[in-house]
Amino acid sequence: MQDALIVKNLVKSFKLSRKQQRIEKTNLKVKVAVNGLSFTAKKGEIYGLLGPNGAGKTTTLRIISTLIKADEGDAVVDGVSVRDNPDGVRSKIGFLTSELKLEDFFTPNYLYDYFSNLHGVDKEISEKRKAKLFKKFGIDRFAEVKVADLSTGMKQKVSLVISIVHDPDFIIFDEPTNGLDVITAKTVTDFLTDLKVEGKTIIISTHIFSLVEKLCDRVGVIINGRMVVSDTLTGVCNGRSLEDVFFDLYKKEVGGNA
Amino acid sequence: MRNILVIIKKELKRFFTDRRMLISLFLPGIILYLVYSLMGNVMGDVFSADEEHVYKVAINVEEDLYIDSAFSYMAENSQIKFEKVVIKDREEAKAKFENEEIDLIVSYQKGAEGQLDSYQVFYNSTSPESTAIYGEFIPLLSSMSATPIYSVVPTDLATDEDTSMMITNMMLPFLLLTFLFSGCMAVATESIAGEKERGTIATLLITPVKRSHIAFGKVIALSVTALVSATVSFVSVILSLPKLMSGSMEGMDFKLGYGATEYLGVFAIIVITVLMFTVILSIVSTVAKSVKEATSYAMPVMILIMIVGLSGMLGASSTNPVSCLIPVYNSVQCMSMIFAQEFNPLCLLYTVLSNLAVIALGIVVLAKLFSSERVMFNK
Repeated sequence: MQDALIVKNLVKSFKLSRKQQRIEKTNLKVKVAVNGLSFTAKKGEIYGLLGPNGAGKTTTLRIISTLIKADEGDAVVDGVSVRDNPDGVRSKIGFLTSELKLEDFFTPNYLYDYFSNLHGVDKEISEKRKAKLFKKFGIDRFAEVKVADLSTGMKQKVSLVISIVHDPDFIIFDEPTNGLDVITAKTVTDFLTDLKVEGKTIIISTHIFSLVEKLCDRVGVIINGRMVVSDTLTGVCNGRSLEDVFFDLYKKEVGGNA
Repeated sequence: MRNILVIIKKELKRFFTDRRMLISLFLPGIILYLVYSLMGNVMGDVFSADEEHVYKVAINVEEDLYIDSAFSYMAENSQIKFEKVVIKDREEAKAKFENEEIDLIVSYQKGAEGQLDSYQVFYNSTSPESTAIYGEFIPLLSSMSATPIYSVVPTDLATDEDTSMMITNMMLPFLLLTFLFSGCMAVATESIAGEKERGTIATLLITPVKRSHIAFGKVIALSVTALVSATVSFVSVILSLPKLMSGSMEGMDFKLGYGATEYLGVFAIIVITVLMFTVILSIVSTVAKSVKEATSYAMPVMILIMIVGLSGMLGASSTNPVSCLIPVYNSVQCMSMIFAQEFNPLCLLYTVLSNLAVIALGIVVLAKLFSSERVMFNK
């Protein structure tokens, strides 16, 4: 199977302000968030990045989505390098994270058209796709309601739809079900399965083991900015539960009780 | 009681340990001090004599004890240069006065039987030169005799239109600059720092749109919005000035003799200034993490703009087009020239070109800032 994403030796560190040093209780002026991280995702698969808070999952996804630049290394999305051609990568990917918010003042309908325009989607195609996605997620019921007046679940559905207005083949979801009620979370996970069936490549980051076990073909475990293991789900688990494998890896890397 | 103290302590800690809060506490006072001090200096400059100018005073008699004494005293004790011109015909003197060939007319009139002799003094309160020599000479003339054996009767020859234009020239550049800046400040901080604060800017940055296009699009949209606000303010000022003046100066008929060219010139300056302010404030808002922080950063810039705006009270201080290359100052100078009906197309051209250069540079900086993760994702 063809590689959709090749991540090679990513390194990313952040300067710590005095305030951050106090919060992190450290004298170090630099925090290494991602340290020589490499992995590969195949076309048409769902790849799950698993790791505790602060492990470097979000930083990795933000580098792949070109929101931030790596200090070293590169990520190649469908043959396009994030380092050499970030604009090219942005047109190929859809990115959904809780950090990306929608403007409260506008309606889902307006925002869909706005982002569709920015992605250069043909008007007719955009209208058809909007009708299909709005119906699927039930957004058509509140398409003309301002984002400010929507519930968290409704907002997440709108964000999800807007992240894929341009029908990208490569989609990145950072903690896609975080903060959602069980019904909305189910809608999102079902949609990820649909996208996989359509042949899309999906990268998700999560710390929910069941989500990875249910959806992912491959899994990578990140601890302290390093990729501890990256393989097919069967290859990683080898007959054991993902939770057990993860905590064994965590103990080995960090030491002590997980 | 103890609870009240606990609350007081917490509130005071909140106010006096937050840098932004401290700025907002002390900055208004500092601004007032700076603005009033500068206004005092500017007004002093306007009403004091120009030591390089030769003031011409027309008198209608060859010799007069009191006038000559006043001139002698002024020659010995004052730094100003003056020249006495004898013009016996009052109408001829007035014609020369209107042509600005002379700065003051002193006309001696013998009093009728049982009445005091008088000196009629004609000056123009809207002319800095006439006002300066009037201020120097008249107190001297009035004090030349210890006993009241003559009277000094001042007459202001300034027309209502002269007065209207002087007031407009003094007030409008400052008011316009302040309105333009505050109009831009409201929209720029909300649109950029507000989007950063709410996390909606990241949604935009993830699209394949070039950062420079995002920056340019924002600046144009913000400028249009600020321009609408500025135009409303400008029209309001123009419409309200006659009411303000007729209320404060009884009997004054406020009228401005400006034509379409003057208004178009002012509008061109407003447009270019709004664009420049929008770019400057967009940069400030991009660097800031929140609307509140952006407003704090914009305040010192606003003080600077207000100080430059006050220079308009001096009128067009220089006809040298090179001075029209200094951003913001050139807008004030150009407006002053136009309001004083001394329109200089070269100055307007220099103003537009230099401000366009600042705008272009600002957009490049803004695009760089939009590409900087440190700036765009600083929390």
